[in-house]
Amino acid sequence: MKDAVQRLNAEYGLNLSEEEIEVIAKQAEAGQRLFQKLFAVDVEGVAPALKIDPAERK
Amino acid sequence: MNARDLESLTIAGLAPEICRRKISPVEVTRLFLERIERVNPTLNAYVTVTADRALADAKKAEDEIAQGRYRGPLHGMPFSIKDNIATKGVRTTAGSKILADWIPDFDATVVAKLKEAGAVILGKTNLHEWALGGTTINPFYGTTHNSWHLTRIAGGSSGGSAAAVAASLCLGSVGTDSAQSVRNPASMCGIVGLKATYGRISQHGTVAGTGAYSCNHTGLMTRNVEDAAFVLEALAGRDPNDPLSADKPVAKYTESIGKSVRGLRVGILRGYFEEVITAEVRDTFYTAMKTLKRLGMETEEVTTPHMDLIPAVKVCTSRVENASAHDRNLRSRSRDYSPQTRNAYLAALLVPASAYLMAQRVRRIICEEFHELLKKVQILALPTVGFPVPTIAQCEEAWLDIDGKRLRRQDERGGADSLTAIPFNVTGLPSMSVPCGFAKSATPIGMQIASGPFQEELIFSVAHAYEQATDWHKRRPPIDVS
Repeated sequence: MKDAVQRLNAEYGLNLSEEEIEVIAKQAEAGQRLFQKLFAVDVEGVAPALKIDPAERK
Repeated sequence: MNARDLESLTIAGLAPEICRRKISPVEVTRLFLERIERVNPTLNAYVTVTADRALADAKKAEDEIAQGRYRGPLHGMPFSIKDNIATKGVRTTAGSKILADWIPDFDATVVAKLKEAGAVILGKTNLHEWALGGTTINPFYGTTHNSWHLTRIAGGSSGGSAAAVAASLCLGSVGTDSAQSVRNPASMCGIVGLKATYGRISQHGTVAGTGAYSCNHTGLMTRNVEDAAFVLEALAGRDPNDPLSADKPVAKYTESIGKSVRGLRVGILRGYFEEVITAEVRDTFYTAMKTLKRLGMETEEVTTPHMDLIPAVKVCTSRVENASAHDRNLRSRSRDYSPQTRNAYLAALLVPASAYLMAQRVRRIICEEFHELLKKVQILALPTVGFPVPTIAQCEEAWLDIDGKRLRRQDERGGADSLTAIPFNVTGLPSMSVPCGFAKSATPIGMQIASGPFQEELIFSVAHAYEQATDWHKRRPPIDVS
């Protein structure tokens, strides 16, 4: 993840310090771990909710 | 009328007086402006006060009423607007350094609707930087203080709005709620906060990047439930400028006030958020549930199969949608964000598209599960915030030590204070926070009353019945106006 932050740093011209890169990488990794749980759900035949219509029924 | 009298005013109480010309909107506006001048330096609820405009609008209201052109219950009523909602000719900062000098040339639809209803806008209220957080500790515009206890936060992100309503610096305020941002500060300041159904109120004119577009809602804050019904009637409806607004008829919400709630089934929502609910808040909440039972409602504990995935869906969705709105500024002005905010957006740019799409698929499942649940019960209830209002000092630390419980203030799931609120941002269901007690720290505790899509009327009926059975909404914070 640190590599990805470094690429972002270069692409966006952010001039991040090593310490800042570390912090952002850790934050992104924590997010990835949280999102991994989503991939365990059986979503066969379930379309993404691209527009939220609270009244929508199947 | 004097500055102290403002503390007992409500929209429902003042409107007939203004309509009958017993009280002048100019007099009311002057008193509120004087009170703001005295109290705001301590609370920092307002970041901009538009005194001259407010007095001019109040005079216009007075003249119209004198000519027999009374517009309705909001005519001449003093309001504030969260500073991430565009106001024509008035600086709109979004709590950010980047927009410090932005003066929009248009009004957000909600502002236009308030003006159309004759409301008098007193100014713009403080918020968390870019509305990304629940403390309203803002590095550029200062911290908003809780009027019940000045060393404590007012909540957030609409902290200024809630502090202003609670301290009688306006009678109503409009905010936004992407994860908690209306309900959380309403709870912490002891007032009513409503996030209506997704699409019920237009979001046109809300600053992009101050809430994920599919989770964000324009919301409102008032002293009591009846006032909230008046305001929703004025703000709700389809807006051609907002493609995400709903084309559904707007109910006469005030007619829900006083309706029987006997026999309604209330589901006490259980789930992952219980880990951040302290015993003190739990006890207060269950006492409120007993009151609902006494009013003739039935309660049962409920949950949904994928409840524990709500934080992952919410965080993934919000991060991606928010970060996309900040892309240009991150490339050109990344040092004009606070480090925490900038880092959150940069980390969000690294979320894979596959994760975002998976979050939206799981989100659909979660929405369906809530629809199923709402076939069994008509109302859902849970605490608004899991713990009593923390101190500003506690929020500046990584850990919250509250009620003897050590909680991480912020983790990968977002703020600990948002976990109870986000089910209704993910599903878009309407939810209202109403005061339901006080903590040992003498700060307010709130509970959420939620319902099915576009069933705000049910929420108003239940919340009003509860309010009438208790006196929490009548209590006022100790404000020194000398």
